[in-house]
Amino acid sequence: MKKRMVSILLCGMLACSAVLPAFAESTETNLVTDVTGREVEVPANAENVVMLPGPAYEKAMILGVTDRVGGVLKSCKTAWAELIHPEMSELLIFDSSTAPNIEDILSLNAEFLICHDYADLNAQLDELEIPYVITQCSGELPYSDLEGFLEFQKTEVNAIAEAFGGEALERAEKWCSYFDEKVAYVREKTDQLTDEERKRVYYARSDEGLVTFSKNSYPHYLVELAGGNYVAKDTPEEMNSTLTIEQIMEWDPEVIFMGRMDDTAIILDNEAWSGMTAVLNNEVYLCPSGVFNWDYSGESVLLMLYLAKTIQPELFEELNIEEEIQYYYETFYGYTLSDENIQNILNHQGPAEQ
Amino acid sequence: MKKRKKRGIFAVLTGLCLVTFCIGMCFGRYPVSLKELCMVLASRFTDIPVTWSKNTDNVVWAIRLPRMCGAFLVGAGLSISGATYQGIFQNPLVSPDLLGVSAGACVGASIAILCGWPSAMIQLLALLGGLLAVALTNLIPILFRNKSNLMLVLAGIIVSGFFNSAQGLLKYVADPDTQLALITFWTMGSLAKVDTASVLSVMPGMLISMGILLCLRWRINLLAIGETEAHSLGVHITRLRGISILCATILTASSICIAGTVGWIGLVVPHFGRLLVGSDNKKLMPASLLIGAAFLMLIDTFARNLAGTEVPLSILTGFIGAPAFLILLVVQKSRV
Repeated sequence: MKKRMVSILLCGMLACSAVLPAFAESTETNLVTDVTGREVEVPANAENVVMLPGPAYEKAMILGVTDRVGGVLKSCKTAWAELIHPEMSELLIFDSSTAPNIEDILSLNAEFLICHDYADLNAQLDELEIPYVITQCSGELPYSDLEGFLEFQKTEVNAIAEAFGGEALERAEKWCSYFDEKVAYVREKTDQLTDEERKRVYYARSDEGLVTFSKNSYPHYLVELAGGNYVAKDTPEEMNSTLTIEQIMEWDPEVIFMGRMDDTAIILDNEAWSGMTAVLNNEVYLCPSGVFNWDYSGESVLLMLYLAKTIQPELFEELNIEEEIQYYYETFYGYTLSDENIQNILNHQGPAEQ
Repeated sequence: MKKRKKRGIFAVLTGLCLVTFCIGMCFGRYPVSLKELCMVLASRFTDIPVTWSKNTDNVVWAIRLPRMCGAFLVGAGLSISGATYQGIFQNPLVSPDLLGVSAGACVGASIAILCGWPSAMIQLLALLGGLLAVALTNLIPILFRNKSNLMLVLAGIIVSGFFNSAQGLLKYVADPDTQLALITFWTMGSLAKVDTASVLSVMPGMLISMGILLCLRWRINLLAIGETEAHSLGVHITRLRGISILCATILTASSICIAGTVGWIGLVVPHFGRLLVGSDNKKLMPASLLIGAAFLMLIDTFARNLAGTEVPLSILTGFIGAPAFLILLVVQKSRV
């Protein structure tokens, strides 16, 4: 027993001494400006990056750096991400983005972290001298208008690309120009719409349709871009709100999207919703879901196109959403989807479901 | 003379219930005029040409009416079980979740939420969780062959503590993105998800339990004179206590089923009742029932109207209940 302890200790010391010179050698760093405007230096050529925001592994996929990720948040592990990157199963999984297990981060020898602006976590990392790049804001959002929102999307991708450096920078540029191109395409058609032509759109997030994304959320701006009038744009909170059903009735939406639910029956079979224009006109739609939630990730470009096609079908008659999905997955993830795959994504299903 | 005065109080309380019910039916984010409201209500019984939209009909029949009935049942149920518990345990600081029913119901509901089950299953598991917790609490004194009230209360603390930890664990593993918000919202109480089906599903059990407790109310008085004395009067203490606890548990668990955990009502309302009609359970229990019902119907009207978003009930009952409790204590002290 004693012998074994000694040998474990020796092994530990050896491992430490092997790691230390490696740290000392890699003096090369990348300079990053994160979404809060902080400047951070992170070690270049990092191999064990920990990514704590939900829509972070998806960015690693866009940037082609998944092999340099060491750990991710539980919710990153979606069926579609695992289909495209089966090696994901070997990553260390973190249960919490607010209070991750710090020893797990240390045991991974994570060179830097991608994380939220949670003050406690940030302070802890500062103390441990582990560099971190903030890509998501939990409190007040750093933008409050459409232009700010669009800029934020690109800043997030760019910040992660700067941290990884090298080829990731080119891939980020490619994604950003694709993003700009699609936004310009949609805006060109919807900017001319009058207030009357913009349909009232309610985006139900979860929980039987009563929880919505509120002002300054992704769906708020995506729906407005897509030619809709986002009814929940004046809610007091940012990001999420639980509404009263009477409030939704007062808005009387003409189109309803169901964000993180997989069955329209949740709304269609509920008597309370039955008098709303959207339900009477059969305009209740599921939202597609891919590598990450479309309403909170880089795939929000696809959501914008899907919303535009659904809200303003005449304006976007030539837009083929299946082709757009295929193009996005081929271009940014290097993965060719089958027709069945595309239908599953559109129906908010995983790859295995029929 | 005195009797007539008490009767007058009950008439006033019943009137208060009716008034708050009408207020609740009239106010909401969706505009429905009083005239429209009456016509929509009458349209189910007589032939009136429909001049209103389907939304208006739904607001009245599918949203406000079930919600008001839910508020009535939950408010009345929690208050009468609070009064019952305070009577049984001879302790004015007791609330209906003394024996762990709230903690158990929360765990049941959280499990259902974590499994992604529909709301009917969430309600069923909440009920089962609540009943299980109280059953465990009652089992501990049996194991120790000690049937005193103190032992039962201690058992309640043990079981509540255990279930609270389980609740903490479930919150910890919940998906912070979707499930955690739902669990938290649910533990703070809300009638937002009450619909006709959920009200009807708990109504029979709750009405029967309330009826039984009302029938037993004079016997509960006897618990105050001490076990031996009550026994000599021919009251089977253990059976009486068991039946009362069972009814109060069904009421509390059913309330939690449709509205989540709503704090303060079970504790404060019986005190308010005591101020009005005295501590005789014969009058206190029906008074608590009516006050509780009126109180929660009023609170829920606020919860729906303060903002476009839903305000959790426990926030409002806490803000109103805690100061009200303080005032009650001041008033009672000046009387003592």
